Amino acid sequence: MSENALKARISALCAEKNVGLVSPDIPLLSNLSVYDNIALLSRYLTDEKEEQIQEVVARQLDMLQISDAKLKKPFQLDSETIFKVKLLRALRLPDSFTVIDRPFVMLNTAADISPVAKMLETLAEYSGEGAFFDFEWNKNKY
Amino acid sequence: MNFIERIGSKATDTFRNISGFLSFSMKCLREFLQGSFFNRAAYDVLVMQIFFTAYQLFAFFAVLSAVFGSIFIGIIFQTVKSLGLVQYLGDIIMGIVVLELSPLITVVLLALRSSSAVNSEIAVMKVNREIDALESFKIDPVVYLFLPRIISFIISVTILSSLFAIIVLFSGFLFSSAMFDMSGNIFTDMIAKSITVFDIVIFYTKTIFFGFFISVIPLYNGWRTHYRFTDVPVSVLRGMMGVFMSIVIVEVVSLVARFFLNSL
Repeated sequence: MSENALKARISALCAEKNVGLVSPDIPLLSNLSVYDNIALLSRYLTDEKEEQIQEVVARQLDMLQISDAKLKKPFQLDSETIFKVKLLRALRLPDSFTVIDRPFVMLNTAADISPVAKMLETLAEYSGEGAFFDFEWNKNKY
Repeated sequence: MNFIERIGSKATDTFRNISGFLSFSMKCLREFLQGSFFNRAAYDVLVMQIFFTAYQLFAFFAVLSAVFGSIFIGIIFQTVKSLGLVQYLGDIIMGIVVLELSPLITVVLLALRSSSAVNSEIAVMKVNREIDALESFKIDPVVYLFLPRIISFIISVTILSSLFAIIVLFSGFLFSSAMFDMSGNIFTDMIAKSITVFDIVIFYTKTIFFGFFISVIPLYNGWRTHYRFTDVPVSVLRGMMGVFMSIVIVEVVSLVARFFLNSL
C-alpha cells in the first residue's frame, strides 16, 4: 500500500471514528513541554481538574520511564521518547480509537513491533481499542 | 499573460484575500461572542501572551514613554510659550500627545515587537503541521491559538496606551510647573476642561481596533502560509504590510470620527 493510500484510509477512519492518532505527520507542539503536550487535550476537551491531569500524566510518564522528560521541549527528545509522548497524547483523547500510523518511521531503530507492544501492554489500563497502519513490506515485523 | 489579464488576476487575488480575511475575522468574532475560549488550555495561552506582549515590555515601555513624552511635551511647551498660546495648552496636550500619539506609539511598538513574532510563530506552526495536529485532535486553532492572542493584544494596547498617556500627563505637569510656574490644580483643571466624553470613547475604541488589527492580520497571514519554509518570510512581510496599512486606516478613521463628534 502506498503512503497516499495509507493516509486516505486513515482519513476515512478519522471521519468515521474519534481517532487518537500517533503519526509521523502529526507532530508534538514545539512550544509546549512534554507535560503540556499530553495535558493539552484534557485541558481543552474535558473539565478535569489540573491536579487530576497532573496525577495521571505523571503516572503515565513514570510507567513509560520518561518522567525526567516531563518539562523538556520536543526538540530536546530522542525519537523513542517523542513516540512515547505522541502515544500518551493520543490516549488522552476521550473515548477514542487509537491509530498508530507507520510506527517504524517514528521508531527507526526498532527491529520489530515488540517495543510498541510492550508500551501498550504497560498502558493497558488507559488504552482502549486501536489499530496499526503500515506498509505492506513491514508485515514481517508484526 | 497580457495587461488586461494581469489586472484581472490581481483584482481576483485581492478580492480573494479580502474575503478570506473577512471570513477569518468573522469566525474569530463569532467564537469570541460564543465564549468558546473559556477553557483551561486557551486561558493558559491568553495569560502567556499577555505576559509576552504587555508584562515583559512594561518597564521598557514606561521608560520609553517618559523619554518620548518629555521630548514631545518639551517641544510643545516651547512652541506654546513662544507663540503665546498658553490658554490652548490643555487642548494641545490632550489632542495631540494623549489622544493621538499615545495609542499610535504604543501600537507601532507592539506591531514591531509582537505582531511580527506572532506572524512568524503561526507560520512556522503551519509549516511544521502543528496546526494540523491540533485539528486532528479536535482542537479548533481559532479558539486555542488565535482568540487568546487577539484578546491579549487588545488588552495590551489598551493598558500600554493608558500608561503612556498617564506618564505624558505627569511629565506635562512637571514641565508646566517648571516653565510656567503652574500649580497642580490649575494644570489638572486645564486638562479636565479640554477633554470630552467622546474623546475618551474614541481613545479606547481606537486602542481596541488597533489591538484587533495588529493581531488578526498577522494571525491570518501566518495561518494561510503554504507548507514550505520559504513561505514564512513572505507571510511575515505580507502580515506586517497589512498591519501598517490597518494602523493608518484606523488612525484616519478615528481622526475623522473625532472631528465629526466634536463638531456636533
